[in-house]
Amino acid sequence: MPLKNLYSVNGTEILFLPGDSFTTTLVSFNFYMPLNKETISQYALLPEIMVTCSKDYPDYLKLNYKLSSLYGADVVASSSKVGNCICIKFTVSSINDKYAFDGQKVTKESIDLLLSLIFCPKTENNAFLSEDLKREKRKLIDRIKGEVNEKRTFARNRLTSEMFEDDPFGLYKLGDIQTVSDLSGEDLFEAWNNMLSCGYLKIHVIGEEMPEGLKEGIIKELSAFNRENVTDIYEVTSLKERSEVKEVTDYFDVAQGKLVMGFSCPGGDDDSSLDVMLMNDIFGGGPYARLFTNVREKMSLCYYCSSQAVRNKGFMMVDSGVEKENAEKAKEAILGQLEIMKKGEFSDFEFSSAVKSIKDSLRSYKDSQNGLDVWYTLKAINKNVYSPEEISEKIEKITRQDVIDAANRVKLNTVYMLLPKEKEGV
Amino acid sequence: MEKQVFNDRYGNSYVCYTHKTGLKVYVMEKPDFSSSYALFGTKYGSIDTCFSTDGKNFTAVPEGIAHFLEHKLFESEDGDAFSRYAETGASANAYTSFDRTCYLFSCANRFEDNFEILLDFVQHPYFTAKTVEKEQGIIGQEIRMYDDSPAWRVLFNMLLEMYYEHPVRIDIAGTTESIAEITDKLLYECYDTFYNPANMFICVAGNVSAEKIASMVNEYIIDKEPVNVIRGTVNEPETVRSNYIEQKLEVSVPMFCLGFKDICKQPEKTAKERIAMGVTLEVLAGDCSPLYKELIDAELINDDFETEYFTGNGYAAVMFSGESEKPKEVKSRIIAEINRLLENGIDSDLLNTVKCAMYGDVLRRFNSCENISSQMAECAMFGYSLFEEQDIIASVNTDDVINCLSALKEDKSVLSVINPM
Repeated sequence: MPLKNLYSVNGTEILFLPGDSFTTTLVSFNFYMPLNKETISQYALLPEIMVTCSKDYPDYLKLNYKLSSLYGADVVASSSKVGNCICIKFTVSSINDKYAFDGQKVTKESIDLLLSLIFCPKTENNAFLSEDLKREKRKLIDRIKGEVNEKRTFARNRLTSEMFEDDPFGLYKLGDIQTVSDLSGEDLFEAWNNMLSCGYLKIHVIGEEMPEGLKEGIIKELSAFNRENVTDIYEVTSLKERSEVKEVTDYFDVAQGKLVMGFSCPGGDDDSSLDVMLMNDIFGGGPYARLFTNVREKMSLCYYCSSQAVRNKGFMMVDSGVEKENAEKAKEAILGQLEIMKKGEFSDFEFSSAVKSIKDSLRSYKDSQNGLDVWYTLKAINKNVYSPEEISEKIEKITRQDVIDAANRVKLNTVYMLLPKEKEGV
Repeated sequence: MEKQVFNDRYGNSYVCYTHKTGLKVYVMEKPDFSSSYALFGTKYGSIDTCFSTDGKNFTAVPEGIAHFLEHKLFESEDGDAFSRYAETGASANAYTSFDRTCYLFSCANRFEDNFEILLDFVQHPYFTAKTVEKEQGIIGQEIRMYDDSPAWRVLFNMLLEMYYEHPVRIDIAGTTESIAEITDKLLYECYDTFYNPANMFICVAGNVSAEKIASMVNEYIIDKEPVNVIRGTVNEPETVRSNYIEQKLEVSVPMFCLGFKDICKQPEKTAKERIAMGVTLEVLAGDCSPLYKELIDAELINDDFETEYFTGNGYAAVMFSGESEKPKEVKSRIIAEINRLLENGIDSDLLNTVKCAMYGDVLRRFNSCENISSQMAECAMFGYSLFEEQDIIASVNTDDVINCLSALKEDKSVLSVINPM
């Protein structure tokens, strides 16, 4: 699918991905701001408040009503860590006009609604209103508190924060309860203004056609902001190697433990990080991978055991569910599988299975609007932005030796265990 | 085998027919897509713990056996199905729910090779005492993982208090004790009963040819005498065991699941009944409803609030779930709102808006081969056609909503709460 870059000026890019197999049109606004402790809580709260009310729809019930009457147009906001940035995303997905009754212009109305949520928030005297602030703070704080409820995600987040203790990437993406509680309406207004002035902005339009007048509309709205100091999104720091492995264990009232291991590896957007991607897949990607077939199936040490590589930040993470008594054995077994990767003792079957699986899933990207949106959101911080098809071609050129070399550059960094309480101290 | 072709007014079209073995086949060609999604399912889930094929002799089997069988079916004498899919690059999986077991794959290359693997391994079981024993350990770990999941526990605790007899009250994976009773012989018995083509369905959507699929089905589906599965009936009272259940787990905000037991007289609710209840729940507690605003403004719920109509063979329950510091207060406000609506009637503007949004959701489904196949599986399970849904949504009126609301009775409710330690 040819990506069309329709506009690229001063840190604002409008990308159009044509695709006529969809019944909907998706538009996303992605603002990239520097990731740091001072602002992460603001950028977690800001999108929440912006998609529940606006000048035109001051009451969230009226806004929801409007969205439903647009055939359930879906407006979603989020913040997530991408490289050294926080990406604040606003998305609308609406059905194409031909499916609407009475010739309603659903797509245009839905996109106009999103524009008004982004550019005309409900504020007074340069501040968001306390009633909205109170409501959204409570919901966000509940979500922050709720992080501990699902132990698998919690354990992964704990590892990330321990592993990146000196890098803002270790921050929890929703911020912390105290900072969220202390935010004022003025703070958020300033954050909104900063996001629109300094945020590197990538707009994705995915659907049958580029909606008429959208590009001009966006340019006009942005002209109200001074966009001379836009965030540099291309500077990304990878996970640093550690001279001694860091080990952290928490104890909870749970039946089953979690073992999560973090490794440093080549990162960035050059081709050597693709070698890591393939190596990771053979090691712990799919059901053909060494972790699944050996550590889970043959040794029965974990109920789940898989790995993923985050190329942007140069790390790999192994994630597993273990019984307390098996935790140490599982850790040794996982490291044993990595040694096998380093020595090149993986089979041709495992190598080719990983290549085929990666290529198959890359080819499937064009069938999912959300998949494409996420793809280009994560790739935005790379100087060379490749399509799934281009990455697929590169994967095909990787050799066994490239994979072995990549494995030899992987270093254990941090081990996090979440274990049942009753055995504490044993 | 008579083929039926269904078209909607937007150019979507699918083929549906019953193979000579009784197997139901659904195919939607989506030539604009690169990928495809196929699902081979059986009407066999965790609730099927007592059955007969002659209506006289009933067999009772251990809880969790359907899920166990799903795990084991991937194995054959010379390797497992995953390693065969690894040759093609497809992404394969399976799941067992209360009323069905489905094996599936998605792929962007070599559809026919993948489809052959699917048809082959699902039809060739291989169970031995040794492999059964090994699986007992792995599934035991899976069960323990769910013991730590508050979202899972809050639901099953509710079902445990709602049902006296119906097997829907038991975890899909069973218990460590129940799976210990599973043997290779029992697995074969269940397999021979439920994995008969007459009890099964195939649903495919994507860049495929319906004709090619039909010829592969003819070639690979093993001809078997159709089995008539008779499910054991249970005498499930209309009442609930108790109205409240609580458990403490490592959570920070209390979680709740409020269920209302609904009578399910026929073996199953009709499509109209299920859709009407779906519309009703949106009118009552969806994000455009006055109740939703009331609960948010009173700080009683947050974004995790959800409603669901949970129904299958012999069971039906309406559920409201989420996180709240005051679950009992949430319950009393929901009940007060049901009574208010029963007394004052339904806002027809709200009803129409809700229906408009649901119509949009149905259309969105056609964006994804996975969603289309899953919906076709619903059609196979409950015997209606894919495009009927839009018309049924349109037909729901205020009387239907009142009717649905009047089934929600406080004395038949169960509030399940997970509190922090």
